Amino acid sequence: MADQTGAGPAVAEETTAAAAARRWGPMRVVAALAIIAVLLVFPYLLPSGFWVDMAVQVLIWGALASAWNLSAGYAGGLSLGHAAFLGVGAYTSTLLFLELDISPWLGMFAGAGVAGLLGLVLGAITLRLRGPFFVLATLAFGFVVHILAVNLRDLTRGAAGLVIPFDGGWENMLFASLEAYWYVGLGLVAVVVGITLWLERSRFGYYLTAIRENEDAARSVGVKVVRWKIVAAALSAALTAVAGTVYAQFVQYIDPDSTTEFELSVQIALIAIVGGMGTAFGPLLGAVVIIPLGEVLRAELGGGPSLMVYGALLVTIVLAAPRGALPWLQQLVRAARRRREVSA
Amino acid sequence: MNKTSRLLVLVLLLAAFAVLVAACEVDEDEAADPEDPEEEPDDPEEEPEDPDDQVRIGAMFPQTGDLAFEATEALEGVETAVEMYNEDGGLDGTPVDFVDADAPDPEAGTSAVRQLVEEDEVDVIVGTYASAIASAAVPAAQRLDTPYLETTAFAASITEGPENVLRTTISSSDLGAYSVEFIETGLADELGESPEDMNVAMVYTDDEFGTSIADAALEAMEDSPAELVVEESYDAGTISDFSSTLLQIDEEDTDVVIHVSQISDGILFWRQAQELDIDIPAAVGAGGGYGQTDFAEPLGDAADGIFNIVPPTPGSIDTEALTDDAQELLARYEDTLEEQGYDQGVYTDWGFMGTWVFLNEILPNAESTSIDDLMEAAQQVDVAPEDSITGFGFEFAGPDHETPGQNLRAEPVVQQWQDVDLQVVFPEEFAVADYLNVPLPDWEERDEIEEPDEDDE
Amino acid sequence: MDLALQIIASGLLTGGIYALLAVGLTLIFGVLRVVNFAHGEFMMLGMYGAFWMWALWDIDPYLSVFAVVPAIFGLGLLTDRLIIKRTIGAPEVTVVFATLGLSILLQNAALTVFSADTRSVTTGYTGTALSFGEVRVSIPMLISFVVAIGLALALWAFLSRTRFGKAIQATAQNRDAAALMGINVQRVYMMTYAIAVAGAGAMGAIAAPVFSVYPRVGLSFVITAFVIVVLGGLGSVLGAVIAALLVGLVQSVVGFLVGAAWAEIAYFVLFIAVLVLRPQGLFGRRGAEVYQGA
Repeated sequence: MADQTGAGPAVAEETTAAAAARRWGPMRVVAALAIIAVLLVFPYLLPSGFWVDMAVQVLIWGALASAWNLSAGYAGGLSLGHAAFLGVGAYTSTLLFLELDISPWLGMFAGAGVAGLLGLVLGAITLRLRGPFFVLATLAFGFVVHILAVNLRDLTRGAAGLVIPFDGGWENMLFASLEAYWYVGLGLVAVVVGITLWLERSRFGYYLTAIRENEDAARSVGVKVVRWKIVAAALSAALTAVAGTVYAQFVQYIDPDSTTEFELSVQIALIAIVGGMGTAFGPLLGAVVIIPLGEVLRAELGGGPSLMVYGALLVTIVLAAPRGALPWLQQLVRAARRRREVSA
Repeated sequence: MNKTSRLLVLVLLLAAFAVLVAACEVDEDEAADPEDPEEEPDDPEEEPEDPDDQVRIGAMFPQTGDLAFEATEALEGVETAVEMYNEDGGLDGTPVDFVDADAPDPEAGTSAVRQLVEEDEVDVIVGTYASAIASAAVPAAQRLDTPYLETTAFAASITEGPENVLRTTISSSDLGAYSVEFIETGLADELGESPEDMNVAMVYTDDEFGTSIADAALEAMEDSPAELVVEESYDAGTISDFSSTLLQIDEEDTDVVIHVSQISDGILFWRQAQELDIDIPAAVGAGGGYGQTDFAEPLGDAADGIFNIVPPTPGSIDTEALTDDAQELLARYEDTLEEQGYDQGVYTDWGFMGTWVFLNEILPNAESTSIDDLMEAAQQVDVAPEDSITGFGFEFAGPDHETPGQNLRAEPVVQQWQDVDLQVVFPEEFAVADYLNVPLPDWEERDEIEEPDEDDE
Repeated sequence: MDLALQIIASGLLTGGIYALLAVGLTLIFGVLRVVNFAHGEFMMLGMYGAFWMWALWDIDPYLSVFAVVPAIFGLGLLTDRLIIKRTIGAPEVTVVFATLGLSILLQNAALTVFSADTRSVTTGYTGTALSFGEVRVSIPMLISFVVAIGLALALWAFLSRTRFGKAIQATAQNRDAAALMGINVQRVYMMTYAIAVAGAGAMGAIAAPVFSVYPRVGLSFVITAFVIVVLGGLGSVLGAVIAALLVGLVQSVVGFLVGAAWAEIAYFVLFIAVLVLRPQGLFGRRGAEVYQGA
């Protein structure tokens, strides 16, 4: 239904954006600097630790959704099994830390490597699948990883989970102050969104966009569809795992349910969708809206009713604005600007 | 169509934003009251010390999600304890303040701790029912220098490390070990077998509750003369067929099954045992589903004789044996529950009694609500089993004990389902009923709900 | 030998229960091209319907089917009108997340209204079984099995024999051509969805004497049903029935030989393998898997 805003306006968007950049160049730099400054002091502007906690969660979920978006939003790989990569990242770095005393900063890369490899393999074997078949394959993969996390008890301690003993210090990515996690989360988001932006502007990104818009057409003009889809899947998995490590260090306790459950995969995708799939900042916007909203609804309405509202909202949003909030807001802004330009 | 639906989304988003802003404002107002006598490491501004001010208790339980059912019972017990304590005048004439937070998973658990400590400025947290959530929340509370009262979660690890926790209920390692001990001593006798000849099957859910008890029981089995013949774990949320497990149990000539389960899987297990005509001489549950009426009622007579090993509750002991004070407390507690419209489940009882002891025996004797002062006051607690409505006493392990803060008197008892009622049958000094159905009668000999099974081909 | 027979019998019985759920799912999948994540919730509602009629008025679940089916059918019509209809031809993300959202909505509506309590139906035939030699066959499971397979076959006959059934099949094969032939595609979609979810409701009611009901009970069943749908081949009713029995067997055999936890892994791995190696499913027509998205 809302799909008539296809490729055409997207091109128009590019040119208006480019024109705006030329016109607003210096102001943009100032605005960017101001935003960075606010982000750096942001946790100290919040009334209490509770809000800082929520802000850190927004960043972690924003990073997870952005990582999901790399594959789903840009290469059409709508995954419902991404919690598996979150779990792989969390468990890899945590086990390395607990068993071999390897810093999570290094464990993070190990986790990313393992998840990237898994993403590569999964991407390779599912690349022929389209539509719901791909969704179901990723869903099954997520369940397999969850069942393994529960049952490989010698490795993961099963449902008992792993407690990360608090031994504060930056080398262990364990901090007494919440604010420190804000900066870790900020760095994480900067990396994921940065990669997304680079991707959007690179040839890789154009290939992916071409694949998402029309896979057959892309193939026919010589885009190596398969290769790029797999690369996107692996990159997405690896970055999700990195966020998993940060999550583990933040909560300092992981268990199969809180790192690999199906509901988490849904939540990751949902945030990206609400914010805007296939846009660099959409998933982040989604996290800014969804995470506090979830908390508030739960506090105000209690469990069942709040999730009812959550479900109803989800249905409404995907029906009414399937491209998500960001493209829709951009459209509003563009329309307003056009109106102003016309009247001027 | 398109326009209207987009408008709808906009309205919804705006509404959400408005709720959010409103919530922030409310919270800021609350945060303006200076009342927390403790130092908050993250807060640059010193809160004025005010030890005379109200003590605030924050309860955190999973009130949403899979675990909500029994956890809500526990929360209602905690709430009732605070209410009755305040009816009695509270702490030196000042009522104790009470807030609660929802903690459906470990991440939400750590957030709830922060919310309770930093937003609601509570002095003590009471939890948690779910061990996985406690495993994340107790260390999180310790990092914020906040004492934690665990009334209902069993996992051994909770009192094997953190220094800020008092646990009024039993640890899973004791529960698992006790199950095996009962099989060797009480049950073997009753079955007329020597422990060496006993074949034990261990069937348990793969969640935190099941594995923590099973691990302890499996460890105890290693030193036991009885033999472990079947070990099977499963996902309580997805199991739809127990026949493969039951057939193994049958093949191995099992004498007793230790089954740690939720409710629906527990029912399915027994219905399928009956259908497959697999006779199991004895079965021992360890709380969870086996302690619930919702488990026994649908099974009816088929549940008669199934054991359940847990800390005692007023429903299972001879309350006449309690002291007059304890009986009076019990009556008042039950009245209050009824006034509130709360059900009285076993977790309600444990949540209530743990909190009641904390409020009456620890809090008034502590200099302040700091971890050290509360732990010190807890050392003085000496509640005999007959002084407690649950029938187990209270005495807390000191800081040098291997499980500091653990209630050393939270001894389990063996209960048996008899006519949809749990009765204590072992150890003898607490028993209120004789053993029934040991061994469990063969299915063919049971008459109730019996099958027209003889119309074989 | 008897043991092997017993394991096979138990596996087939469980598989039979999955069959009816999977048949409806495959129908929606095949005709509307919608992955109906909310399918398990309609089964859950059917179970609650049967439970309450039993608890309040002592009505046997096998009788309450006749009330549950029309009720869930009506709910299906309503759902189609409000949600499913609007996802037809929409981007895939809309289709997937609209039904996921519906699933969350229904599950939590049940939680709010019925609470998280586990509720069970006990009838005169609960726990009863027939003996065939050494092999025991649970009576309630057998009844569920017979009803489920019977309904699934009736559905198959309806699709291949009746005019409207043929219209449904034509729409499944090519929506545009069907519309050109004068088939009211919207109506076909609506009826298909309502019939399929009514099937899930029927399964819930007939499974009530076997399984306890709680708000989340649908999730595990629907995930298994997805596995079955893919194994059986998209849109293939008979394939779904056979695949359901197969999954029941795998569960039972692997459960006995290796352990309950590994039975699930076994069928998920089988599922991924089939998806990759033979995406049209074990019994599906080749080409049916080519997804005609937005």
